[in-house]
Amino acid sequence: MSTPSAAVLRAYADELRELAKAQAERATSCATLLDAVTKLDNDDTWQGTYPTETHETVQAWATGLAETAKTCDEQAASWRTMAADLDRRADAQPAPK
Amino acid sequence: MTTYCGFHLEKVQQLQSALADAPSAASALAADIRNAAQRAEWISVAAAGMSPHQLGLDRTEPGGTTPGLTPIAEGAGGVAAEVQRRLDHLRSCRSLVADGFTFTGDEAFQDLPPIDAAKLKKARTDLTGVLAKDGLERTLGLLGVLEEIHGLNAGETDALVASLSDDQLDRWEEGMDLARSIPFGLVPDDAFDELANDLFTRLGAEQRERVTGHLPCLQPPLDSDHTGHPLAELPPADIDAATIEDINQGEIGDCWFLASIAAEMTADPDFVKKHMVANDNGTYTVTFYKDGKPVQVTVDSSVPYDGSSAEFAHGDPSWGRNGPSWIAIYEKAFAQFRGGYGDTEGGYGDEGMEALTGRDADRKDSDDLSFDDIARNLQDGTPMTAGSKEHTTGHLWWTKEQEKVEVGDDTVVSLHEYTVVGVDLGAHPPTVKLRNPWGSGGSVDEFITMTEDEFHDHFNELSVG
Repeated sequence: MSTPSAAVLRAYADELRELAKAQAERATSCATLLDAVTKLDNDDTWQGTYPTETHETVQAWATGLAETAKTCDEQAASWRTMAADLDRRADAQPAPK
Repeated sequence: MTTYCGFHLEKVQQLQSALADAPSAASALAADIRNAAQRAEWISVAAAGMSPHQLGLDRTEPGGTTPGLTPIAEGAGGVAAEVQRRLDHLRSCRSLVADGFTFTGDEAFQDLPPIDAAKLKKARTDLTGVLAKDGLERTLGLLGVLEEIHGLNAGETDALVASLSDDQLDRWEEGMDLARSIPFGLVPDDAFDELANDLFTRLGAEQRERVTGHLPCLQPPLDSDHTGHPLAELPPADIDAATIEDINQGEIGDCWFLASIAAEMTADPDFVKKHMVANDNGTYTVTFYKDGKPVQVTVDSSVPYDGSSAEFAHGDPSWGRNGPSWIAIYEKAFAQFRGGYGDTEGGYGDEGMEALTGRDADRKDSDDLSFDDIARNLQDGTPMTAGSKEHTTGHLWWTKEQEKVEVGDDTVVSLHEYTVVGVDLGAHPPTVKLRNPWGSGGSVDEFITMTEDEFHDHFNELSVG
């Protein structure tokens, strides 16, 4: 086990911030994935037994998506925290003499 | 016309497209989320000074879970395909409105192949043409059109019947009724069975109710001894709750068939569930077997009804109108399978069990099996029925006036098929328990218990399924 250099830690920190940014965007993508479906899945579009069954299915999917979006947001937040920690570790390393 | 039968066709098409796009988007998103999580994990390990390689973090693995995306990636495509099929069917229905066909609500939005407009129009032209004729000319014409009807799909059949007036349905019945009277078997019973199956399996609830009311030819024929009571539709059958106590023989001599069902249910409590299906349109499909091959028979729930109970097999009569109805419907399907209620009279358990399961069954002399053998069969899940001997005071054997013999505290009905439900080898002496298909509504006990000597004295046949 060897401690990475300050330069490597900073590179990791930068990459984690990029990953966090992209994961937060994916959280939004999850939350909006079914927007095109849900905005049309209403009584103006269709009515009856099958539309009701499909509506329930879409609602279940939307609930699952919301949970996945929440997970993505939590991951993004933890990666940002981890990046900040790596920055601190890099700063704490003695400069080369 | 954008909206049809409650469906805005353009919007439903847009909805279908959105559903069709969802799986690939969900899959790509899931992969990105997983890959990012894997990379972040790799960095956390490497930054701690450990080797991601040694921990296996640089291998390509599914890694992480995206539960919210998986059902969409795997399921939305199927839903999109369903919606598209229904749209195609709906559009084909709409195209026929101008030709006088009518479709309503959910019945138009079925997951069915699109309607073949040309085939449907030709069938209607041919059918209404022969219905306008009279006498034998109408009957012979109808027999020709039946084949054409057989070639229609469910949506086409429903549209065809919906386009007929009540008067035309009545003329159809008159023509079929005349066909029944044509001698020498020139009109095979199969023609009626096939028409009944075609209509009862394909029609929506509304048209199914119309043909039940207007086409008695779809019902299994009654014989001349059993024509007294009008048909009445029974309450929905609770197939999952079926028990042998629901089996009460009515005014027809099919003890052998009813005892066989009870035997199968004794061996497998799920037997009825495995062989009887309730359809959405109020009909039931029961699977029987001919020469070992399955034959599905679909019937409605209308049976001869005497005002308080089904005339033939019925649930516990003390339940009245709301008693278990599955057995009356099962028996009706068997009557259709055999060619009429009269054709179910008289038989043995082995015939019944073969018709019920398709498996070979044996009919043995009751002396061929000891109580040990019977107990072993029951233990192995082998269904069994037992036939009582004839007593000779001359009553007709197929009515409830069958002779009865007192045996200890029990009564044995002459020339009657019972279900073997248990053997008590620990009793002194050992006993067998039999169930009379007359059930709790008969004039004798539903269950009887006999010693081995009594059994062999009064029963001469054992059917082993």
